[in-house]
Amino acid sequence: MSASAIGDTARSFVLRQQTAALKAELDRRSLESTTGRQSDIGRSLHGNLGPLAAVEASLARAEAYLGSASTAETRADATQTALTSLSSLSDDLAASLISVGTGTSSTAIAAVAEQGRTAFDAALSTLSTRVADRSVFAGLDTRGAAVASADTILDALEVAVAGLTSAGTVEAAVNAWFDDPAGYASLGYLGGGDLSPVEIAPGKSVAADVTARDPAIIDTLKGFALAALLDRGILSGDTEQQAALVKAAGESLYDSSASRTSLSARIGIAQDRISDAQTEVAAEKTALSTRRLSLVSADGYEAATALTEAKSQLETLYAVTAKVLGLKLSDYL
Amino acid sequence: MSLSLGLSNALSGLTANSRATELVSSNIANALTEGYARREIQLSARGIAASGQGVAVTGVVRVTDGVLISDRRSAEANAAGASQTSSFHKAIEQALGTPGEDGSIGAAATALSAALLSAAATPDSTASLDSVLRAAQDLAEKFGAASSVLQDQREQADDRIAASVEQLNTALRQIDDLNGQIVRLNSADRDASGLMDQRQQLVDSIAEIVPLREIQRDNGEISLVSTGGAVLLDGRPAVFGFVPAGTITADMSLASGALSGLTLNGKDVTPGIGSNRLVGGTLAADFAIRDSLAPQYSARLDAVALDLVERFSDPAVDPTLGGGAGLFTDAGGPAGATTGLAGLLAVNAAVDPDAGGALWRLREGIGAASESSTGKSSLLSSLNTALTQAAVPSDPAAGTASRNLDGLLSDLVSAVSLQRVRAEDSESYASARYSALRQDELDQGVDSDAEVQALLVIEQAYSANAKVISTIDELLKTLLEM
Repeated sequence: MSASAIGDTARSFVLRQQTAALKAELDRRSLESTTGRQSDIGRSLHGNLGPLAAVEASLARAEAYLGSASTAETRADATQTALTSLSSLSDDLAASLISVGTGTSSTAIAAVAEQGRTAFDAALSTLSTRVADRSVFAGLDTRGAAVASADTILDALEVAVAGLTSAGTVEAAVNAWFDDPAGYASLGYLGGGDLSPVEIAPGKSVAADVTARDPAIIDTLKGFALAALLDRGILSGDTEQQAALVKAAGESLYDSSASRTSLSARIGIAQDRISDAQTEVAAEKTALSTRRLSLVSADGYEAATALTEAKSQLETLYAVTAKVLGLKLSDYL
Repeated sequence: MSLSLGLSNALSGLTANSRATELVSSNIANALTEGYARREIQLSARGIAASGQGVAVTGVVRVTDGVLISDRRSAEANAAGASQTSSFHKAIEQALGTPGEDGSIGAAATALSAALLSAAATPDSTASLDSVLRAAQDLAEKFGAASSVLQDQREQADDRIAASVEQLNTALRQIDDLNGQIVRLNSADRDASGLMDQRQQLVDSIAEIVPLREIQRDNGEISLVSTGGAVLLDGRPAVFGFVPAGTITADMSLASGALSGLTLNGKDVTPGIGSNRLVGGTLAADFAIRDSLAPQYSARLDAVALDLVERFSDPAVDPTLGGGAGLFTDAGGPAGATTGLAGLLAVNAAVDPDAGGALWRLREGIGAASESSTGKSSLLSSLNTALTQAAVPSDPAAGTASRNLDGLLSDLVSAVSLQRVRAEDSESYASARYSALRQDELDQGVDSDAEVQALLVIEQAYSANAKVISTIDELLKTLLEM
């Protein structure tokens, strides 16, 4: 037989192989056009997956940083709000206290004492603010209250000032109690140590927490406590000394306002840092997403063109297959 | 006398034509039969003295190209071996997962770091601590899964070797048997083509396992020699010996004696260890997977697992450890032998409420006796730092550069991916070569058009011969009527 004869199976073998190859190409290209991702990342990156892994890791961390920043923001906002309300309580009370001059009637004193008592309650409950079931001013001990109840503190203070007869000595005793480690720090403040700073961006931490044993808060509480003690009947009968104590309480509150302001400013700066970090991380996230896209994305135009090409090739191949396999000498005899 | 001579000539023509149609029909019937070689009739003029005595069928030829078949077989072996290797790498790459893929080992490591980061911001939240625990368990599981895929691959390779050896032994015996029958038929001058087809099919069936060369001996007998030089069949069949291991664990190796080598007539021919006599086919590829590729990846994965365990068992990270295991343990205890560690990696039971531990130990320290402050985040932060800081792994198998865990894992996946791409490239080269040779071989197969064409010619020749007979018949009648 002539050497140019070509075996039947050779033809179908070639057609089969071409069909399989084209179908694989069609699969790959249709996957790329629909997902927009390279179907074989390892091949498209020449086996160097390090940069992609780094981008993915940074993206996952950026997400976590945004979450941490948002938590820190919520807490800083709550702290700031609490400080603001503490300030307004203090300002209101200070104004009332200062307006009481020497020689005022005992009823007027009783009225401001009553106001002092209410304000002290309000201040302590502000300090027990909880956000997301977490005590804001309690430092490390986030579960429990930051401060004891007004009654507990006032009971302890009454003991401390028992038997004192002048406004000056009472004020000194109250101040001493608040500054004494065995006084406010152990009986009034129920929280723990300072919280560690929260990491809100790569290498950036922020300490936006304030505890109820911060000097600015203690100073504020001293003023409130002095006024509230009057309500407990301290120096009763001695209107002059009582009026002096009212005055001292008012001044103490006024004096504390400066340190409260600087505390507020500290939180404000932290809030600023948090929002800066959020912007920074969000921008980094966008940049990382773009970088990831450039690493893994398939050229949509190229994929679509190749898909169309593979489709028309496959169609041609089918037509050729039908024609070639239909060509039989025996059919023409 | 010459008229009857003419009759006899025409008759011999008819006989030859009938034989030719028989071959054409056989060829057409076997047009799609694997291993069938096209038959051609061999004719010669039958001559006694000077006068023509018609045509004689001198034989039937199987049209084959020994060189081409031999090339195709070795290409087939290479392609099959390359495909085995490439699917191994592919399986490992899939088990580890490429970066960004959900469920990849790299994503699990990053998720742990992100969970630690979030938990450091909200250490009092049980949900945060729980997500750290889940992320850690997930990472340990990923190591375990990758390790078991590696051992599975070794087991499968071992099973395939056992099956291949069995197939080789059986096929060699059968080929030897056919050799004998073919020699007998040939000596008796009978057509042995059918048996030769069968023998070719048998040789083809083992050509994938070991690339081999066929050597023609007298009387149609063949010998088989691997391209590496091992004699598989020469007069009598060689016997391969292999003992499958069944279950394979990370510490089992050929060197330790737990895995079987390969013997040929009792002599050691294990591919890969000093013997190149069987290289090139699936057998050698399977030995490479079982004894070198998988153990290499396994050792590297174990070394990375060791690095992970060590990162968390540093007392500087968690002062409460007191020499005990850190967040990740070697089956519950401190890291022991590196081999097989990836498969034994587990999260310390002390932090797992389901295992009698408590989540707050993530915040207080693995060895902490009691819970103190719920707002403590320093340990969570330092755990994250331990995970993300660059350090040189203690086991050089994991790499010698200073890397963090993400880096070690991405280096590992990159290495696997690169190997996979390279294996695929060599597979596609080998299979393209095989396809080309196979196509050439098939080109020489039965072309039904050519057969039908031949049939037409035979038909004409048959009619011509018949015409000669009828004409001679006329002549004889004329003579008799005289």
